[in-house]
Amino acid sequence: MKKGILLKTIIILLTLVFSINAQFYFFGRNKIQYDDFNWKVIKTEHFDIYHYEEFSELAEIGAKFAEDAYDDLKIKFNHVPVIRIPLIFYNTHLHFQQTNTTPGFIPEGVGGFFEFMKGRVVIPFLGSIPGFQNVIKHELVHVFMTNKIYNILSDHRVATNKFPPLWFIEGLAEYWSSGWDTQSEMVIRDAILNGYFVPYNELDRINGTYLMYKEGEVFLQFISKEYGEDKILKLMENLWKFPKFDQIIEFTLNEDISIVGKKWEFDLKKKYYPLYETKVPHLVKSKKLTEKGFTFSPNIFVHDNKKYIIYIGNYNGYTSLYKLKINDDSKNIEEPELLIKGEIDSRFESFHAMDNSLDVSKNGIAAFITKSGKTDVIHIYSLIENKIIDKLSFDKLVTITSPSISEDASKITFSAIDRTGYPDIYIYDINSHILERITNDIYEDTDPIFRNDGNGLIFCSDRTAGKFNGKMNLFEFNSANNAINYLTNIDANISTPHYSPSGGLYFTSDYNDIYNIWKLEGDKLIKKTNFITSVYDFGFIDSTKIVTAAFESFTFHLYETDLYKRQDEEIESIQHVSNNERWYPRKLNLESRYERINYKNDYSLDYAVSQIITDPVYGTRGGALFTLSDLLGNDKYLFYLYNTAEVQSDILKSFNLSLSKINLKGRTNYAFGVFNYSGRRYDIRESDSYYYEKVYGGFFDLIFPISVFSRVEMSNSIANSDKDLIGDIITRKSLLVSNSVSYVHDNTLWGPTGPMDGNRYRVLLGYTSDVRYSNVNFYSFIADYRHYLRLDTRTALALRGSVYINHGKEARRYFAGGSWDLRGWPRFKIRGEKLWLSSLEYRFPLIDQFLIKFPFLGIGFFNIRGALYMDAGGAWDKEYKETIGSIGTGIRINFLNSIVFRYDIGKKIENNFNSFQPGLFYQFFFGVDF
Amino acid sequence: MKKNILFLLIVLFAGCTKPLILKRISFDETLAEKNRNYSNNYYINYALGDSFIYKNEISIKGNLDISPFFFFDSYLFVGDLAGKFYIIELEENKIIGENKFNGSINVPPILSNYRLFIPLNNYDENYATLYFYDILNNKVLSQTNIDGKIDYKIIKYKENIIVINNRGELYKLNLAGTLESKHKLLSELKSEPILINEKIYYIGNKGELFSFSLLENKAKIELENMNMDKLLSYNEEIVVSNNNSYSIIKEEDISHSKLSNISLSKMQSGVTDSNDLFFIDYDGNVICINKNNRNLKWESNLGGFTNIPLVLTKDYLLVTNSIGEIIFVNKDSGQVYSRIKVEERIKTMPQIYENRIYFGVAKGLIKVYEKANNK
Repeated sequence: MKKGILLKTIIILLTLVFSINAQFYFFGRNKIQYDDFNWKVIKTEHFDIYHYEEFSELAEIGAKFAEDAYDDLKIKFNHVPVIRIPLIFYNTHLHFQQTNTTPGFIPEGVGGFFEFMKGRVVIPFLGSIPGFQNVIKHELVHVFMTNKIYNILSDHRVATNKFPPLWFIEGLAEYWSSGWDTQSEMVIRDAILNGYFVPYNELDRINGTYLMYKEGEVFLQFISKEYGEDKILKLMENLWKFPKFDQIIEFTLNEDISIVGKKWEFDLKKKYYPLYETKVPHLVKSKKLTEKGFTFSPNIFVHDNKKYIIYIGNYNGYTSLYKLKINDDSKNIEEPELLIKGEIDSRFESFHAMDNSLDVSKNGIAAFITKSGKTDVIHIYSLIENKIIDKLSFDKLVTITSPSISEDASKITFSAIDRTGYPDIYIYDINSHILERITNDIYEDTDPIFRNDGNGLIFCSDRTAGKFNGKMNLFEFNSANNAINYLTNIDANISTPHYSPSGGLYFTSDYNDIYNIWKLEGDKLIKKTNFITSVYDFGFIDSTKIVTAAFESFTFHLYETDLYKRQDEEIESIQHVSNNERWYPRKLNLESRYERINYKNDYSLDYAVSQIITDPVYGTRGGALFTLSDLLGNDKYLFYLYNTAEVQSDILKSFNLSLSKINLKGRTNYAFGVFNYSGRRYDIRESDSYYYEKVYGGFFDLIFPISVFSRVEMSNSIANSDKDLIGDIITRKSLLVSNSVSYVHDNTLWGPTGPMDGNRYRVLLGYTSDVRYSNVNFYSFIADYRHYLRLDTRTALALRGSVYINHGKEARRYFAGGSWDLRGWPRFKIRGEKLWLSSLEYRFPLIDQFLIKFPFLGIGFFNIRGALYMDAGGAWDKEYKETIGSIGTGIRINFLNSIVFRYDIGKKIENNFNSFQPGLFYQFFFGVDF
Repeated sequence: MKKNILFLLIVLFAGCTKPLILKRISFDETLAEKNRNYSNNYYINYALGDSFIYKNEISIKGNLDISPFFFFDSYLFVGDLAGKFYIIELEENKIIGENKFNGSINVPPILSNYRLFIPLNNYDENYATLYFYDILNNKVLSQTNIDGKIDYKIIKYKENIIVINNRGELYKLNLAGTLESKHKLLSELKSEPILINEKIYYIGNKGELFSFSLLENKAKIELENMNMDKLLSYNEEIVVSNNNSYSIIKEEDISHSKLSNISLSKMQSGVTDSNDLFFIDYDGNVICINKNNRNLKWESNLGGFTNIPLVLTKDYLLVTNSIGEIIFVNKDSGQVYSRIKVEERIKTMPQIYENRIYFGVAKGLIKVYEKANNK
């Protein structure tokens, strides 16, 4: 929500205005519903499972996981929710990102969520069945915990909005859903060893981060080990007892919280410090090649005897494709060259940086994957010509990962997920344009590469059956007989296989540890690196030297390192013979056809707000707002009622009400409704006067997103307006028909208080006419352009230029002034049928962290930013008056990521920018930067 | 105007206050003792006979912990989780006295000669308080602070009130409400304590069986390496159990315990009479074991989620589940005889008193069912 005004919000707000003269309009990226899902519902004992047709089998598997999790959690919580739980499944993350169950954009890292309003659990299938099981259970922990805590608090008649801190909520969900995995181990190990582990009393500092999830989880592990597993439930059961969670911990564990925190820290240090005896950090053993940002997927390209690393990096918030020259002679870090700037237009909408999504052939062809529109596509890029030479997209494939180009660059193999949800291996022939599906089953098949003998593929898969059931092992596909055989069968996970220049098969594995590099030699696996934190991917510079993308100090960087010359650790590659066993997840048995039904809109109340206020000046007034929506959030109704009467006799003629329907189901979103607004209005035309106006009519709005970054908006309304100027005896009657069309573009990247990079603009054309009395007749034109020029990671220059024109009979006036446009000038002070504004602002970091510690409490402020600015503008009706503006400086504080406070000091400029007004102005307000 | 406000204030205050006064009660200590259960074994020596029909409900507006009721004479004494204590007259089903404390009442009070011992878990304090309340004169005579929480029932033993807190500490008070001694037990408790003769037994954190002699004020480990979860007693017989096994132990011969196997996914509770032993798990699987030959007599899956202990009468086993049902199971055959079904979540064990069944449900209601032929 913070990083863009959402399409949905735009639609809701559009229902509240009817005139094209709307002073406030918005930018923001678009959440696009590309697919028309045919939703079904499976009714299980405790759940309503919503899924679309092609995803039936995985939905049944998910239903079984949900029921199994329910059985386990009811005992852990000693509680069951008495309501049915809605579980909504999507088959890929790309489909999940289209959900209307939440208004916000869903980032790549979100694997599911539980929302409180309707108690919905929304989960995408990301390719791994065990992973799917973990996420379902994780979200159900939230459902059980929320329900349990609500019952405890209401039983004790304590306010039911009291919840444990987020580290506990997410830590518990992790702790009670999945086992401790390699990634968790890597992050906590790294945090302890590299000094960024956050002690208990500072956990708020990392609120909402992945580190917070993992620290929460290890804290609960520690409580279970040190004080007993039953204490975790007791922490929830004692929630009513004290206002602060620290007090609840102290009471439940019968120990001072500072002692608990110290014991926890000591326990972790005791576990991880001895690792330095046998393992090495990347920075010590290797040469660091990148310094800023995050870098992934290194591939080596040799051209004109120069070696380059082609990789995916994020240095400034946009993930892009980069090239870095390897300079063996220099100890300095080279400057990377940007090849493709990502995430600013619809071709490269988003890179999947954390996935294996880039490969480079020997002859200089790079294949990389981005989201583009409704699916992922593979871009073919010539490193010699420095340009995109092809784009491969496949209608039936939704997400694509791990591309690998054949030796002669005639074929590409990759892993992809279709609408059934299963990740399988494909080969695409670039010359014949034929796509061949190699695997077609429930297993997660990833990271395929062509065998160096040309006889098929090698890939990683969780099809491992038997003793090491579900582990990601290495398999080979023989193209001669279409057989799939084990290359490894060990109790570990394997990923990113690569051939070395001399033909050795290397890969990463978490055998007995976090991910390091191993080599397959005959029937042996030999460990070739021994880093203390994980290697994510790697590429060969030559037979002994590699470039790794590794995790260390909570960031990903590229390192150049030598493979071990000695044999560090050696194990059998096949430790269990599985005799062609297969594992299959259990599904829920649908006992009758009535258990799977077609989804029909199931409406329930989202929220209802009402308010009655009594004011000594304006008297008593009140209103209410209700919204209803269906379970999938596609269809909404909004009812608004408000009365602004100042005296009893005005009640009947001062009702404001509107009824709107908003449909978000398809790509084209629309809203329509009726309204009646009446009451005293402040007259923008004449200072300090009011008039009575009664307006009633209907509207229809339509929004078509062209891409995530741009859209077309149309707005139509018809409204009868009866306007009495106070003191006048004549009522101005009109039947206003208003139409407008806008084009909106926004690819901005936001910092803590406003946009920092990219640009956004809106162009609007409109016409308003009184079709009955001809009292009103004017056209409208708005052009508003804003550009943000990043100077470095945290500073930017922001520019705004906008012009607003209403021209014709009784054209409405625009207004400006105040903290959001012409700073220092009072709101409404500058008004006219024509208006222009421009701003230039330098945004820079002022204070990152500001802590005030009182003896009894402490307050922390983060992300305090500074600005130097200059505004200019003017407004007029018939003849231009004067240019005014302001110049000054200010600070902005992002408070709890929910509101930005602004304080500006400056001098007003007047008289066509020829003189300053005497004295300074001081302005405090809220809102993000323009 | 002033008169009206004054009248309004009087009505308001009068309406909110019902002093805890019981002038009419005729106190008999032996009757009070009869209604107390220190065995964890909810066997009631009473035949339910015919089915029960809904009689009425008492609205106390506060939700209850799992076993909150104490009946005496024609009165029900109960405290809710929001710290309000009530005396309810059972004939009229009318609240005749109430008092609000700042905290939560999780276990029933002890009534001793017109005096009530009311255990309160305080809000925003590290201690609980045992109030010694005079119900003839509606006043607190004394109060004793107990570290931690009082989650286990308080016990009357001869001239003492015994309180065990969640930190494994035992407090001994006299009947005047004065603390006599405090003892550290050998472990925090995993089970409710039980009283047999002069000893309190309980399961410790690691599943051991401990005892504490109230005469000698000495704690002792009785059985180690048992890894038990549940504890109940019948007369002088102790039953310890976990998901896989149980043992019936005579108090005089504790060291010679013999384990017998059972198989339950996660045991919720057990109950026993002179002949049979019943266990239930959280999934509603019930088993009945003949105590003499240790053979399985019957087993039944009643479904639903059960986190409320079993109640046994002479003829029925009462199983309470999460979907608002009390199921009457024939104790000899395992057949379901009848069900009481309510709309709300059931919060307490059903308690039988004078031909009626009482149980608390969500929304602060106590439901009352009466024998169908109780004319």
